[in-house]
Amino acid sequence: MIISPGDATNMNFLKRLSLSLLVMLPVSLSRAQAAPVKLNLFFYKQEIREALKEMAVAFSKKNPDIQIETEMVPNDSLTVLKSRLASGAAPDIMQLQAYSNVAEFAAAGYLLDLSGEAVVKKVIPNAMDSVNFKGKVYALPMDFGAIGILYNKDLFKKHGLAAPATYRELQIVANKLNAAGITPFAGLLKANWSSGHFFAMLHSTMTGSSEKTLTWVQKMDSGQSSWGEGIDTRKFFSIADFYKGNMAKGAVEWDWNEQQAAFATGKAAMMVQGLWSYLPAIKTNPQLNVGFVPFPASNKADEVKFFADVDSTFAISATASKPKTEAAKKFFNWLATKEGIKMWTEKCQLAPTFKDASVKEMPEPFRDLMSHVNKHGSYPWEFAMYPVAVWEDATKNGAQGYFFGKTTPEQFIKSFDFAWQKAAAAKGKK
Amino acid sequence: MFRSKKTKALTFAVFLAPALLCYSLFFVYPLIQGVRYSFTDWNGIVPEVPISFDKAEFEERILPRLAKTDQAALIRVYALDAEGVYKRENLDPKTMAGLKSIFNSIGITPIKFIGLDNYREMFNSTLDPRFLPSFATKKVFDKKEALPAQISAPHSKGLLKSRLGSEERMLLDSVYSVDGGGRRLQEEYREVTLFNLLYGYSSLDFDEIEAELEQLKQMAAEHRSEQQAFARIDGIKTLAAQNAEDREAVRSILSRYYKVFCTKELLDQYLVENDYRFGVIGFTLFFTLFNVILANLLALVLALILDQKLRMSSLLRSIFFLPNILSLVIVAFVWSFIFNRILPSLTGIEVWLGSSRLAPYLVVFVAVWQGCGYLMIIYLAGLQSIPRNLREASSIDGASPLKRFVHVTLPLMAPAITICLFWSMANSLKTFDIVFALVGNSSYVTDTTPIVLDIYFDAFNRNRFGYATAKAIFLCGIIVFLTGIQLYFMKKRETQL
Repeated sequence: MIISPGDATNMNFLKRLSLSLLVMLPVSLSRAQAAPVKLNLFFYKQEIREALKEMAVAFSKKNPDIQIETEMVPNDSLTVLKSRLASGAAPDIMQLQAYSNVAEFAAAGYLLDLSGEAVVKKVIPNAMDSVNFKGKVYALPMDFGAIGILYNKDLFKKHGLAAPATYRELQIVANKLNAAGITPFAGLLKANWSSGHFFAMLHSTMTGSSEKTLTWVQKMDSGQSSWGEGIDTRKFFSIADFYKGNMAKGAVEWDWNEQQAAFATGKAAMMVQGLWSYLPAIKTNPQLNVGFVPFPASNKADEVKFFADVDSTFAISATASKPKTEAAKKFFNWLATKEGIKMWTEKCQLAPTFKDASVKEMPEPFRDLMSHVNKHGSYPWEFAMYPVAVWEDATKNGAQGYFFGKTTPEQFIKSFDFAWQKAAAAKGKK
Repeated sequence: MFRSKKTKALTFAVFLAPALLCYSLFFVYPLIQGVRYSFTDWNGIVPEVPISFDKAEFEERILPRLAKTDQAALIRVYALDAEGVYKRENLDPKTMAGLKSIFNSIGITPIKFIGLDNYREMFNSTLDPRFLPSFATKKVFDKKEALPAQISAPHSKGLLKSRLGSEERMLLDSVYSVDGGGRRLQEEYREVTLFNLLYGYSSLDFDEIEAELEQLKQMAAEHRSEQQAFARIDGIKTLAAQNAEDREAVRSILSRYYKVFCTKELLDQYLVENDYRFGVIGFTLFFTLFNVILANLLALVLALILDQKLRMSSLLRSIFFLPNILSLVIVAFVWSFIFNRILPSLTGIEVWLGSSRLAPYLVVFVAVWQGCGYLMIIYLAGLQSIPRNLREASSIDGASPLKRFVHVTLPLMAPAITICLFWSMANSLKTFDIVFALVGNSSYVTDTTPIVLDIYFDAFNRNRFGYATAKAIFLCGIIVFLTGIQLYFMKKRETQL
């Protein structure tokens, strides 16, 4: 499970429980009625809660015979979704993380095959890998996510610093910030997902290209490779050390709130985060002037690219009734219209995946991202391709353990390879 | 009172039979199911009632093997669609259960039985290294970090002096000056200082320098002598291209870097303390032991105090009970705030919940604080049910307050003690929410994972339903075993007294 800001606070635990209870009620009631068709849309991105509701209303205005009820489960959404699926009460439309989650639910037969749909052809071709399972399309890629360095432009300007384009420049920037008494990185180590993102980002970047990553993943699946193959592991861990070494001393206790607060108030000048944290940061401090650059893991500027890929997708349940399936497809088609895209980019503020979408109206970091990716390309989100246990346990907990000084590089590599072997063996049995 | 057979039968039918039915429906049946799942490798995702079948498979391989009524049940649910696939829609739980047993009868299931493998894996520390306790050394300093600005007096005395060789002592003395009982890092060996000095020489080829620094770090890890390192520094090509003055200066910077690397290795290696990791089982038992003892002791003391005729006693009772009615999430929120913000600024110790040394105790502390009010109420009730004349009689007989407590109050409170111990032990063994809310995602690295949290992660993060169920069954066994022993002895004592 990839986490956007939802994971940030444990408060969501109870909210999640009560929410799911509350929402089950209308779902079961809705069956009795014939018209209008009511769709249940299950999603996990809490930052678009209001915006998605507005989109549902706008869609219903165009299609009065269809109503969409949005249901958000921000934290551990997969836990809730799995139990819903197992009990036979699948939501009609599900927001799923690209790659592994789509593949896993498709393999279990829960998702409707969308291969022939017209709306699929409107998506940028290289986004389609993320929703492909055995040659068929099982979901609609919806937004591009990117993880990189969000930096405080005003603070950089004040200390005469430029956005780092290489690893060496990053080191120099960090040292100058340290000397000025500013924490270079607002860390987030208390929750394991951010450490996991950092490790996957660095690994993907150092592997060098999408093709190499895909080959590596295939080789891992067949048990012929290791985490360290194709990258300079010593350099990898020295960059990880540099990252940890430039956080505040108590960073092992920092969770989402502490990280956002430190960055938004200018106590720390940079944070390695997904672009999804831009909106919360701006909400905390509207005066904040933020730039977005890729994390440079290399001293060659042309090797520095964004760690960006399809983040969320929408899928239709295979067990939804005929009229509901048709209604859901209508909604997907509407998402690709001018109106749909406009609302998606402006209200939800997520980078779109449709061919003719424009990002002109979006805030600067998004434009930074899109122009950089269009010019230089990107590195794929390899963690989304890991088997679930490898990502959830070996990578997230392993990376966090490394930053806490509990796991050595050797232990990390060993447990990563071991977890992948175990997952591949389990897949082979079925 | 005389009761006819008829009344007895009626009582059974009205009260006991429904209770027994519910008991078997909501406890016995799930338990049996649980035991069954614990022998499987189910991942929790693949449905037990398949969503679609190929036409040929459905018509040729499945239908012929079923009885007429079962066939009809299947055909009611699965419909052939335009693409030649038999598909089902969302089902209600009853139909689902019916189909499940039909499919099970002909061996169609995503669930594979793997015998005792799950139970074996639990107790195999290579397969699941976090479950059992293990011994390890804990580092005080990690070489990933910058050298600490200060070494505290006990660390520099106790740990360093005993094990260092003379060369290592000399290295330490040159990098750290003695400052009172502890030591202080010399300004010229701060990495930030060195870095800024080095990057001041813009004519250097930094690609080469950085590669050389990595080499030096490696040499330090291999404990090469300083001479070897200096020889390596002298061989750097970009140094030869500098003028004599700069060359000397950079050489001095690099040699100081080497000393810093060596010092880091030294501290990383010697600043350690022998330690063990609780593991999941260890922490669960640790938490149970301390939570049971401390919460009950504190509750008993509070109850004894509040049983006195104090003016404010009812107000005080409410105050001590208050933490119990707060939602655990609020409790965790409040305490996280205290541990993250208030205590660091008061004490100067920066890391509380993030430290594996402190976190287990802090978790117990919060649990005791939160739970003892409830126990206190039970003890108070126990105290107040003791007839006053017994205590008065013993005081007339000349018993001291202590003797009165040990020989009169305590024995008469035995039922309350039994209940409290039983309740707090069973609850501590299956604690989840307080730890989840307090340390949540860092519970593995801070060694504070109770078994229920581990089960939760296994089932929902790692998609291992079968394995998680096996752990849950194991936990159920532990709870029955421990509370059984405890009840047996307590009951025995109760009757003796």
